[in-house]
Amino acid sequence: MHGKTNDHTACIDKADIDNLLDDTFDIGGAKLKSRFFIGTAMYDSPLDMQLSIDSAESQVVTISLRRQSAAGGMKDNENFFDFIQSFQSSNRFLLPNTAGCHSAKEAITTSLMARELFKTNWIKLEVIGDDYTLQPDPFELVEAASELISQGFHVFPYCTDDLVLCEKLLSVGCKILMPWGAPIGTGKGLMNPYALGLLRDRFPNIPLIVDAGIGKPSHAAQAMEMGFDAVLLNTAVAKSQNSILMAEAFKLAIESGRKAYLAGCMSEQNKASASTPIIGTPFWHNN
Amino acid sequence: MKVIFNGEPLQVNDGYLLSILLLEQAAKNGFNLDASVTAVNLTFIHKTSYAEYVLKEGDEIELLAAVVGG
Repeated sequence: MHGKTNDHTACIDKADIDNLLDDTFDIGGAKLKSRFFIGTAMYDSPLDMQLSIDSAESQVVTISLRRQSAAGGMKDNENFFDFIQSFQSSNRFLLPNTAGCHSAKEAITTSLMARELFKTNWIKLEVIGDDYTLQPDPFELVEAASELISQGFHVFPYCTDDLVLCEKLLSVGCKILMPWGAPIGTGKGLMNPYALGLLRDRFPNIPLIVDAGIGKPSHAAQAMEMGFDAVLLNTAVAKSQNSILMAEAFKLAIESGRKAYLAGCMSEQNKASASTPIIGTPFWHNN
Repeated sequence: MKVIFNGEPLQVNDGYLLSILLLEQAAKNGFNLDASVTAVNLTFIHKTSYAEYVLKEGDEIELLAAVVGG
């Protein structure tokens, strides 16, 4: 990272202007401009979903696999499959997940099925260890990640903010980390900014995406200000009063947070410091 | 013999091929097999192997399709 600071916080100098205007990032073999990964679930209608994704200007959407069911609306399944195929063919990317898997074996099989159906090596690897918090099982997650990487996948592991777990995931070959901000669907925001900041500091060259728990655009902006590379969310948009407008709100917050990170935020101070010059203050006496 | 298809028990003849079962289920329920993928007993089965897979008693077949996800 360029700039006049020596930590991960960057600031603009003249030589960096062109680079900053072309603020893309590389992930899973792709070069992305949008830092907003969005989910496709829980919208009021398929049209709301599509318009929200358009409003978000996302280049990556998450999708999943479930049993074929005659009662599940075959026409809806066909329409969704048509939508994701058209999405994928326009320089945008599908990120299938392994939601609902509770073991490495289940997650590996689901990943292989997703690769066959969606024609992508990308997989958002979820292995749930606790059904109440949807907290990932770190042991099964590392085992699954290791196997999938050996089979040529780009693994996007949904993990906690535990430093040692993240180190293990990197050690088995993960090139990306997706720590949670808070449990899925809670909307509580970044519950442990210290732990997340530690990950950013310790892994300055690893793409880090906050995945899950974000409820408001300000939460997303906070993550981006901390130097995270992207944000992945679903519920906060889909369950808002107006998903299309909320998608745009998140897009702007993510862009804003990213620009703030690049600009370099000021350091916090305990002592007040007047911003208006003292010299020439009217009505001021030296006695 | 009994197999399990998408969580439901199903009676099939001995020596039944996976490909036949999937074609029957697709015809009965309107499934699009081109937009589906299959696993048997938690092992992914590639489409090119459907016609070679002979079902056994108790096999658990999963036929999955794309759905929304977060």
